[in-house]
Amino acid sequence: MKINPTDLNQVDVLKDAPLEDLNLIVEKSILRSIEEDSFYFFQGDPAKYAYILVTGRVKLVQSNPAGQQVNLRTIKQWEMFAALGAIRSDATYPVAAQALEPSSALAIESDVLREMMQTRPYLNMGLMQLMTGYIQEMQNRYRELATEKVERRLALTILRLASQVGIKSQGQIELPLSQQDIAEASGSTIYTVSRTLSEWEKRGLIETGRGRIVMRNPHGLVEIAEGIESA
Amino acid sequence: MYLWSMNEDVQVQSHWTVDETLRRVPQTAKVFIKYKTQCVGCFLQKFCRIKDVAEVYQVNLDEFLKSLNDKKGE
Repeated sequence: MKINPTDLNQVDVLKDAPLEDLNLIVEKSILRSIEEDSFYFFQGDPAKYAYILVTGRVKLVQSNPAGQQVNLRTIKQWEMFAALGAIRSDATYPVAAQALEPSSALAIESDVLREMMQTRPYLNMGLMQLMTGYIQEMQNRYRELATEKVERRLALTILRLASQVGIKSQGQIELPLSQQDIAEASGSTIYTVSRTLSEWEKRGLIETGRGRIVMRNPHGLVEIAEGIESA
Repeated sequence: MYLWSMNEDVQVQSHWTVDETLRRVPQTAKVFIKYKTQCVGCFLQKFCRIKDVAEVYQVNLDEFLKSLNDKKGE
């Protein structure tokens, strides 16, 4: 297969690259084709090459010492991946790259890419955009893991307590419990409970008072606990 | 306190709670599921009346009651 250098303008990192640089990249790189389920590299290998996916799909997977795997992202056609070796010469790949279907990718030596970066601001900007995109995505995922899990647990705790000690008065369900009680029952801290409850109060789900919680919108809490919240 | 038995003739009423409905007419569970409610297994069963359920899930109360009394999920 022959790579047309102008195709490389479809790579975000190279969208502002002049033709001579694209020619240089094609000339300096090797096209590696692998079968479905094969690997471009493994986690922990020295990061000697950066890749541009030409055909197919590749997943980036990280495993912990116990062998549990997390799929971090899927690379699609004309995306650059594994470029960290260009930034840090002693880097090792933090993930493994496994083909989800027969794939081919241009492999560029990290050293070559690093040398090109010295005199080409577009390349630096392109790589930084790639990096900041990754960081933002990870921050979102982290927030989801850290907060939504707590929200669901707290909602579930409150519902469970409501079924045991809730009193229905004036059409609303009231819990004779303090935030401290909720924290202890859910295994979280008073700070988290306080922060979450005041957020819910703002959204009209509950009303908090001294040693009591009134459920203004019980069904809203059910939705949070079930993880089917639309907002 | 009053006793009730599982009676085929018993009619679900709009003021019944979900808890009461499911205990007296267990076959209604499939109707709650059919209407895509979270009522079966919910912690708030004893607080919600059938008319509350209809309101929360925005379904027609009369149709909902009829389905509950037909005990059919169709």
